[in-house]
Amino acid sequence: MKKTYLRWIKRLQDTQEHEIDCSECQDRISRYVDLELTADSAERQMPEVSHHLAQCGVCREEYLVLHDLARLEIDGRLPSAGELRARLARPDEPEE
Amino acid sequence: MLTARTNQEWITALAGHQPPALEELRDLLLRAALYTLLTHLDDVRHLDERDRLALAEDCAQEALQAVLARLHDFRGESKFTTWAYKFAVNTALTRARRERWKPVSLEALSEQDDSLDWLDWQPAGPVARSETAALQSEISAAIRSIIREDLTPRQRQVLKWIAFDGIPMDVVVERLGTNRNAVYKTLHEARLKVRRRLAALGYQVWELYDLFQGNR
Repeated sequence: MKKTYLRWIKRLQDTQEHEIDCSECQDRISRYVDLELTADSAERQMPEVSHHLAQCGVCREEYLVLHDLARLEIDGRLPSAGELRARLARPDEPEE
Repeated sequence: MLTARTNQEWITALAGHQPPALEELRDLLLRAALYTLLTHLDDVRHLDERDRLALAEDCAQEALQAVLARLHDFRGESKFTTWAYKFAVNTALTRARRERWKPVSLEALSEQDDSLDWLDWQPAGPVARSETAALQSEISAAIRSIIREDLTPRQRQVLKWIAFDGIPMDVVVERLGTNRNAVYKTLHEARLKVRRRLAALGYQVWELYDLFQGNR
């Protein structure tokens, strides 16, 4: 409860008069992720996205997964569909 | 294996319905959907193996249709694949969250009275008997009062569900028959009302977090 309250207090403190909504964030998120992965300052260049991600839990979750995927692709480490299917089918088995 | 298509090559090939590009995109979106569900396993663990995999396939197919329908929206400001993955991630996470929360009745989590006991703050630890604690109690009481008096019932309810009960926005959206933007706007307006009233009452809202963390 305390952690939840503190998280909301932080969001309350950081509230701005104008904030972009989820559609606007989704519209810009792929550029934001690519900027982060090229070591450019995404937060500096797109502060409105950074702010929304701090305020919106669902957009933040999606951003984190998107960031992972884009990074894996750049590194050539995105697992194949077969590997991922096997892991999703039996998630409690140790990976080989 | 991922071919090294440029953004323009992707758009041209997909707009022309070229099978190799369609197949490659389908594969990428499936991998994205599978990966997304794996990162949120707790949302889908209750499903059997066949249903988990079917969910991933469904999400990938839905994402593929969305990408193809919105090719004209791609502005080239990111890599095409990053843009496309977004559809699979969004679809898979939305479906996963809704699966997890299917058995939960939001009505059971609705406010039963106006006590706002879900918004209770108790100073604890070393600050418990200090000036900081007194100020924390004063401000948290002011916040409760503002929420009780200034927020609409809908704003209070959505705030409770999402910020305090931890219900994902997509689940609230589905149950209320609305959309994410409307719910985000509701939460934003609620925060604005509270923030403005606290400032009008003379509280230093820019230091709230430090105060409640006990850093002041």
